[in-house]
Amino acid sequence: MMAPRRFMWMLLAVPAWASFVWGAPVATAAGAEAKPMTASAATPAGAVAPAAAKPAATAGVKSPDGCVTCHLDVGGAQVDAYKKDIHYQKGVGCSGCHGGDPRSDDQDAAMSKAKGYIGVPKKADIPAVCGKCHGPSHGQASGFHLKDMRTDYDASAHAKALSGSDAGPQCVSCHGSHGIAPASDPRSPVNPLHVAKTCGTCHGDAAYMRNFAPGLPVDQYEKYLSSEHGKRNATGDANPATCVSCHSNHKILEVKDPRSPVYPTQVPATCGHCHADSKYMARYHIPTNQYEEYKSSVHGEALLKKSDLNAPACNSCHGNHGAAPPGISSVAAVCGTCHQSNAELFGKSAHRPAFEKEKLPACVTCHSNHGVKAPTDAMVSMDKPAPCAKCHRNDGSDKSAPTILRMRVALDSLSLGGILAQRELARAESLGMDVSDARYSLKDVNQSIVQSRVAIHSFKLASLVEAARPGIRVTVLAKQAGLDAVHEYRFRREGLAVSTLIVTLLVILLYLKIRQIERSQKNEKK
Amino acid sequence: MEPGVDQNISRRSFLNNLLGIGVVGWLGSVLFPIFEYLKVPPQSEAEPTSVVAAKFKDLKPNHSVVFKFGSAPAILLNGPDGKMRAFSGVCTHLQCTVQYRPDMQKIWCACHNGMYDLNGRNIAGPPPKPLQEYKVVVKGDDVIVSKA
Ligand code: FES
Repeated sequence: MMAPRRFMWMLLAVPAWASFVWGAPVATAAGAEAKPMTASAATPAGAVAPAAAKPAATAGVKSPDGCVTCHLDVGGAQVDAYKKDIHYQKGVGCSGCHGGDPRSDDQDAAMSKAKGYIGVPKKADIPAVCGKCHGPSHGQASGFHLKDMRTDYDASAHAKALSGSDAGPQCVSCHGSHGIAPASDPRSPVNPLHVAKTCGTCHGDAAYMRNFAPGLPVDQYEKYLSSEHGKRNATGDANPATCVSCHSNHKILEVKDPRSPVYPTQVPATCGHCHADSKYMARYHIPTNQYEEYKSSVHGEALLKKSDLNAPACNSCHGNHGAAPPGISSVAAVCGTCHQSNAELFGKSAHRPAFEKEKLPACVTCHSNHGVKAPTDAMVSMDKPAPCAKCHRNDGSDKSAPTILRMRVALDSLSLGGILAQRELARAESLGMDVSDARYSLKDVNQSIVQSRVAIHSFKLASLVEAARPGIRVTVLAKQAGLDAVHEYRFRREGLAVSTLIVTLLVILLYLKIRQIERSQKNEKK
Repeated sequence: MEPGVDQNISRRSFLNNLLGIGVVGWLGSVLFPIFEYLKVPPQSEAEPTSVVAAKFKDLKPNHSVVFKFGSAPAILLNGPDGKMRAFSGVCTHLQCTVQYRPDMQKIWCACHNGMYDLNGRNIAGPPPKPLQEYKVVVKGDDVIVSKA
């Protein structure tokens, strides 16, 4: 157990840590600059205003401060630590956190409740203690202008955990107490090179996490170490993303919270925060157009415009904590997690070994990756820019070319047949004829189209034709049903017209006959 | 009676009969189109809100039937637990018609291997949304599925 007095020392350091921790851009060992993602994703990390250094220079706490004078004399590990603490250097004494009256010579009076002495703050109270300066007041009473991190923290999942249990994470859990250093300082546990480990202390501890989020995985840190970000971080490069780059720092929200930067619809922008920044990414020599491409892709439109949370975001293909580009050999497997049938057919097709030989990635070669568009039948063509035409030649030397063209004919017969049948049925309907059965049958055409577009991944004409044939048959029957209905309508109308004409003629003839008879009768009388 | 008169009468009646048949035929050809026109053409029923989807005794547990519900297919399944459930039969991915797979005890879409659980929730593959659920009522031997 930690003695209360020692803990008191520890907590002395608390109030001003955060401004420095997330303060200035994070200078790394190599002098690089990390790119932190704040909760709002737009605000740069809380910078310490120039005024921050005003009240006290870096020479430590000035007298008269009875607490400091006395405790420096007493010494100890916490005192030693606190001498290197950023708060001490900025002139914050013990009373900054623990309360009391540092000007009083009388120890009892200085450490009396009446003077606001709180001793070792309860864990649940720590955010309030730190928040005296790092909260909505911005520490202005002490002459600082600090970022309000208390408000962010209060909105976080961590604050929720703390409100349910004293073991929940609070300021000290990440920043330490006496001996707090700015995040830019390699000694800080939240320095970019250490923050993943710091988060992993709790998030990798299944027994601890069970108290708060029993369903949450505890392998994030392990995965991070295997990720491209983690591997680079381990070499001392502080620029690649760490936990806080994506989850933000103080306002960490649960993934299922739509405001969270890692909520599915926010993920692309969160990754794009660094990956779309050509200046920031220049040192890694990788493209920065992924986010732009993704936004207009079929996946991006589904996720961002239609809010279809099943649509993949960056992490669906690259992983999240273990993020890395899928290798050439794993592309089909990754796409196949959703597009199973296509991946299966491709796996058994002749294209697979051919692609492997040429070192071409499976799906991506034809469909592209981040910018993948909804496929159309026009992709099956020997005319550029159709993907078939990338490898196959149409000069008579390539046996596959005629097959490709026949495949296209099958696909076109299906979709064209569907369109013609639809048109015929619409015509019949506009004449008031009932063709609902034929219309209902058209659902099989759609099914056939969809299945043919899957079957094409076998790259076998026979399989494609097998999938297309039932649909083609339905289009023929449905079109005929439409034509028949129109014919029936015509027959009724034309038949009626002819009958009416004949009846009218008859009536006229009858009329003439009657007049003729009447006339001849009159003549006879005369 | 003179044989000549007899012959005359039978010839006239034969001619009259022939004429009669002609008149009837002519009348028929005139009236048929009129009747045809007056006959009510088959009407498409307005979108029904409920339909008898199956006979109770015909639908064994762990079996299903796809039926026409208005202009779209629907699926009625008798789950392995003997509970009747009905859903829209239109896959929420690209509108293929789903089917029940007794071996997997799941609703399955053949087009892209999409899967739905017995409550119509999309659980695997590309379908983005659950299947719309319909109400099932068993009345006597009729299993009635309704939209409301
Ligand atoms: S249409 Fe049903 S899974 Fe694609």
